[in-house]
Amino acid sequence: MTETEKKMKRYINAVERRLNLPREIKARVMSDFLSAISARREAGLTDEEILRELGSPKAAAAELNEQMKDFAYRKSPWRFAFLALAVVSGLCLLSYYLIFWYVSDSIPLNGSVGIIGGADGPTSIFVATPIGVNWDQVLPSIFLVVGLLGFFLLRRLRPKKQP
Amino acid sequence: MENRFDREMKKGVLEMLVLNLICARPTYGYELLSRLRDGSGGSFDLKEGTLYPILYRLEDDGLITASWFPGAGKTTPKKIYQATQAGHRENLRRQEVWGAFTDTVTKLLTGGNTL
Repeated sequence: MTETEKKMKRYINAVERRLNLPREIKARVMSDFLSAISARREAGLTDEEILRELGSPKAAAAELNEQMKDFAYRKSPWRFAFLALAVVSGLCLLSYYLIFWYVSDSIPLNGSVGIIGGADGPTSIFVATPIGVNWDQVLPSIFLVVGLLGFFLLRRLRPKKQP
Repeated sequence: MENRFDREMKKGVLEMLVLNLICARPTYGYELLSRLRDGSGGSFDLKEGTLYPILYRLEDDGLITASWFPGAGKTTPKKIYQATQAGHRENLRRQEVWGAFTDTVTKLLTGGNTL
């Protein structure tokens, strides 16, 4: 591969990276974009001239994103509800652990019931927890995962079919 | 800078023109652009990206199909668009609609002036 071919390949990749489109639409746009480059080569333009005509990767991609708006991912406003859920459950978990650490640090280690061997505070309490599910932690964890998942999925909704 | 009215009006017409050019002979994006530019005396000077949504809509409606055509010499293949049967029919229908539409609009505009 020559230096100019490498440069063109880098340029094409840079444009593709910046396209905010569903995968199959992106593939479609890129096939036409490549076609546009070969057509210009056949018309006798040098790679330098082609690159100048198409503009910087950023400008070319911005132009394509703008033109392909009807085909782009839709973002649902509901995603913020899911983000809020994730943040709240994240904070819940965090505060739970902070309190947990604080309390376990303040428990005197000598002679406490339920502490196995010379284990440190948190571990010993984990061991002492009755077998079963600790919903205080599991529930916020589930909400955190659901919240984050929902947030990211709702940012990439299929475009509405044109009538 | 073009204003909103000019832009919106051009958008609808462009789809008709692109379909008509593809019906005339199978072609690719770059050629469509130069034919539009040269045929309009430079007033339809578009960027490649403007063409893509139009082409994809026509393709999704089954009016045109895309296929790869090996490039000349050592160049990479090109994507060629050609009209389907339905595309040719739709092209004729659109031109009838356009003819009737412009007749009515012209009549209304000139009628409005003489009143």
